[in-house]
Amino acid sequence: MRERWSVDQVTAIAPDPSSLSAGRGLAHAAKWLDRGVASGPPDTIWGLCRGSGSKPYQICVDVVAPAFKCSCPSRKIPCKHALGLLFMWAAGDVAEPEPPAWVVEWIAGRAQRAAKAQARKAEPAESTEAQRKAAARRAAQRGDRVAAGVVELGQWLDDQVRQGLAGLDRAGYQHWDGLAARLVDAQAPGLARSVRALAGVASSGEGWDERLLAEFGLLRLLTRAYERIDALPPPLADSVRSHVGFTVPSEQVLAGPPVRDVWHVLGSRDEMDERMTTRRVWLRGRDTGRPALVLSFAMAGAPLARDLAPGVEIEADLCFYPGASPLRALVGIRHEPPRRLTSGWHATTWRDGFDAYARALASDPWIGLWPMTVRGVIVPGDPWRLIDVGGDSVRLVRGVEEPWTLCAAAGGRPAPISGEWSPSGFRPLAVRVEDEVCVA
Amino acid sequence: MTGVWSQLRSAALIGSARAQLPMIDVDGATCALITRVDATETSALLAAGALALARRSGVAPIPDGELPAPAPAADLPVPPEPARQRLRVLLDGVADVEHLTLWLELAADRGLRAPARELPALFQLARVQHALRPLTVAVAGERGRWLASQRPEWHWVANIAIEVDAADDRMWQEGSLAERTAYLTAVRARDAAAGRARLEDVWPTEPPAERAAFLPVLANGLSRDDEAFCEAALDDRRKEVRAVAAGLLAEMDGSAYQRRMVGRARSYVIAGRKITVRPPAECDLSMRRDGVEAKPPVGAGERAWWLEQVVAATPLAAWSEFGKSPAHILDMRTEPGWQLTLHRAWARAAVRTRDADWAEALIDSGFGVGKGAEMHDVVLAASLYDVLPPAVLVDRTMRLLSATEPPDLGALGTVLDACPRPWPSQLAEALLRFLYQQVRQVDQSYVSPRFQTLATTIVNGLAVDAIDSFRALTEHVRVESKPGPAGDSQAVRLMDSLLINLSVRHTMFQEFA
Repeated sequence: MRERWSVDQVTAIAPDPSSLSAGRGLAHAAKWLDRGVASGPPDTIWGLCRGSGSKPYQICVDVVAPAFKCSCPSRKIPCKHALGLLFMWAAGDVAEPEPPAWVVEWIAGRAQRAAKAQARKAEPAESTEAQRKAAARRAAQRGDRVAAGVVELGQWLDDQVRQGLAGLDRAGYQHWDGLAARLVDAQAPGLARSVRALAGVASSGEGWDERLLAEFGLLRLLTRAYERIDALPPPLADSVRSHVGFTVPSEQVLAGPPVRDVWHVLGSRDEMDERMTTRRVWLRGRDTGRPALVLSFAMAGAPLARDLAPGVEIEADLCFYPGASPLRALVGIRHEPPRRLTSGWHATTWRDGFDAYARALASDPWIGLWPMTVRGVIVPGDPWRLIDVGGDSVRLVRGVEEPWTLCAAAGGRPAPISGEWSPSGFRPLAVRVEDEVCVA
Repeated sequence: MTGVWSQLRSAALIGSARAQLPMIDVDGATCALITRVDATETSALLAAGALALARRSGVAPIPDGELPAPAPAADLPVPPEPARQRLRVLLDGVADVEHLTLWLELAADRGLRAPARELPALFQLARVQHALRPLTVAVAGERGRWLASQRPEWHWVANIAIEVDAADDRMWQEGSLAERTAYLTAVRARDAAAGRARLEDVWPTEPPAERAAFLPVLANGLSRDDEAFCEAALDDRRKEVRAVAAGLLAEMDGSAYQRRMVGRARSYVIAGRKITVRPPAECDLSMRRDGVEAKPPVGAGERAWWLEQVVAATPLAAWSEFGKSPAHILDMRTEPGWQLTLHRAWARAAVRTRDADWAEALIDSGFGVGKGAEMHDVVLAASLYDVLPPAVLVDRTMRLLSATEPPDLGALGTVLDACPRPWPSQLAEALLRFLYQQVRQVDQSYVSPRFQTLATTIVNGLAVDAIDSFRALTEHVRVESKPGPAGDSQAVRLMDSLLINLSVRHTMFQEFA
C-alpha cells in the first residue's frame, strides 16, 4: 500500500472551504458504518457514511489518480464524504478489512479502464494513405495560418513603436485581447499567451515602458526567428516552435530518452483562470543537477495530483520536451513512489544561480520562469529581499502575498529557499529548515 | 550599451511617427549582439530584444551585507507531531475558535509554543479576535516575539512581554507607548505614590493618546492619595481621559465624587413606604463634568437616562437605609414607570463594583428575563452572573435542574456560561441526567436550536475523561430510540454530534501526551 497522505495533502484537494470544514466534521468514527483500505491497483480507500437518508453513502477514492466516487447527490469533487474519509485515513484511522463487493467491483472497473487506455496508447495508430494525406494537409494548413499570424504580430509590434508606447499603461485589456484572439485563431496559442501577458507588463507601474519595450523586442526576435526557422539549429528551432505554441504529443515526449534520477520537488504553484488550473511543479535531479518543470492541468475546481509536493523526492524517469534548454518534462516510469526527502536541497548563491540562468538564456532567449534555490535569509521590508550567505541581495516580486510563513519557519537563519526567478524578481515558494519543508 | 538602450527607450516611448528613430552604430566592444540600428521600427525592436536579453543575462544581485539579527536559538519546546498537525488543521480555512482556544490552552499549560510556521496564521487570526491574544502571546515563544517585532500589526505580541527594569527609567523617557505603559505599571505596582508622581511629572506635556493610555494604570493600588490628580483629570480635554478619571473616582471610597453622586441620587430617588422618583430636570455642567452623558441612546428618555447614569455611578451602600437587604429594596413598591430604569442602574452598579449580594438579588428579582426584556438588559443580566462566586453558581444551577418544573433553557444557559469549567462532578452528573431526559423527549421530533445550543454548552464544559460515560449514554439512546423513516432519530443524531464534539477535545488532550 502506498504512503498515507498527510492532512495537508487532503486539505489541498478540497474544492472550497465549506466542503473542507464539512469534511473535517465527518472525520469521526461515529459517522461511519464501515471503512477500509483496499490494495489496488488502483489503491483505494472506501467507506460507508451515515447520511441524512436511510441508505448510507458509498464512497470510493482512488488515491493514485486521484479519483472520487460517492453515491451522495453533491456535485462537488471531491465531496465532503470523500474528504472526511481521507482525513481519517491521513490520521491513520482506517484499517484494511476485506473490501465489500461494491468496492471490489469499482476497483476492477477502474483497473479495466486503465488497461484499455494503456492498450490504446500502445497500439500504433492505424493510418491509411488517405489519413496520412489528410494529416499532412492539416499540418500544411496550420503552418500557413501560423506564418500569417507571426507576420501580423510582427507588423503589430512595429506599429506600436510607430505610434509610440506612451499611454499603453492605460490602454486597457481590449488593446491586447483583440490581437491575442486573432493569434488563437491563427493556431499560435503561445504567441497569444505572450500578448495577453503584455497587458500585465504595461500596467506594472514605475518603469513599465522599459519592461514593455524589452518584451516587445523579445517577441519581435521570436517572430524573426520563426520566419527563419529552417535555418536555425534543430534544438533552437524546437524551442521557437514551442514558444509559438506548437505542442509535442506526450507519447512522442515519453518515447524520447529518459533521464533517471532522484528528483527533489522544490516547489509548486497553481495558476487559475476561469476554466483551468495549471500546476507547475519544479524539480531538480539530485545527481544530474538538472532542473525540470512538470505541468499538470485540471478543469477549474477539479483536484490535481498532489503526490509531487515540496519536501518529497521521487526516483523516476523524466522525459524532456525537445528544445535548446529543455526544462519542461513529463514523468515517465516511476521506479519508487514519492517519499520524504532523504538528502538536502542543493542551494547556491545568487551569483551562481544567475550564471546558470544566463547560460539557459543563451540557449533559449525566451525562457520566462527559471527555478532557483538560494541559501539565504528572507528579510521583510519594502521591498522584501532575499540576502544570500555571501551578503548579496535580490528583491522579491511585488504584489504577491508576503511570505511571512517562510520567514517564521527560517527564523532569520540562512536556509535553502526555492523559488521562481523572472525578470520582475524572485518569488519564493518553499524553505527547508531542519529536515522540514515549509511552503509559502 | 546603456546609451543605446536609453536612446531606443525614449524613441519608442514617443513613437517613430513623431520622432526620428535613432541611427546607431554600435561599437562591437559594447555589444556583440547588434552592430547597427537603422532607422526602421523592426530594426529598433530587434535591437531592443537583443539588448533586453543581454540585460537579463547580466542580472546581478546588490551587495547588501547586513543581515538582520536572527531569532534567539533557545526557545520553548514544541508540542508532539499529532498536536502540531492538529494546529495546522485548526488554522486552515474557517477557524474553529472553540477548539483553537483549547489547543492554545493545552500548549500554554504545558509551557509549549506553537510551531514557527503556524505563527503568521495564528497572529493574523488573533489580530482580529482579541480574545485569542493572551493565549497567542503565551504560545508565541521567542520565535514569535522575534517575528512579531518585524510587523507593526503584530507588535502586540511582543509588547505584552515587555520586561521592565523599574530602576532604569530610559524606557519611560524614550520608549514606545506600550513600553512606557509597561514601565509605569511596574513602578506603580512597586510604589503607588512613585507611580503617580511619574505620571504627574509628564502629565501636562503628554499628548491625549498617551494620557488615555496612562491614566488607567492608577486603578492598581488606587487610594484617596490619587484623588486630587483624578479630580483634575475630570477637566481634561480628551473625553476618554475624563471617562477613566470618573471611573477611578467612583471606585475610590470616600471621594468627593462619590459624595456628589450620592447627593444627586438620593435627591432623585426618595425612600418612604414606597420609592418615589424625582428625576433630574437637566444635565447640568457639574453632572457633565462627573461623566454623565447628556445625550441619551436612541429610544431612551433624557431624564431616565440621566437618572440611570447617576445611580449606576453611586455606591450601592447609599441605599442601605431603604430596606434591610437588596432583595427587600428591589421588592419595594416603586413609582410607576420607574422600576426598570432603577433596577437597570443598580445592575450596572452591581456589575461595576462586583457586588455579589446585589447581583444575586437582581437575578432573583427576574431582571432581564422574560419575553419583553430588551437585549441590553439580557446582556447586563448575564454579566450579573459573572459577579457570583463559583460555589453559588453551581448551587443555583443544581437548584434549577432539580426543580419540579422543567427549567427555562435560556436561564439555564446563562448561568452555565458563568459556571466554572470543567463542571464539578456533581454538576456534570446532574447535567447529563437532564440532557438524557430532554433527549428522550426529543426522539423523532424537532430539536430546537435553543436546546441544541444548551446541549453543546453542557458537553463543552464536561471534563474530557467523561468521554466513556458519554459514549455509553449515546449508545443507550441509540438502543432505546426507534429509527425513523429518514434513518437515525433526531435524538441519536444530536447525541452523535455531541459525542464527536467531546471526542475531538478528548483526542486533542491525547495528542499532547
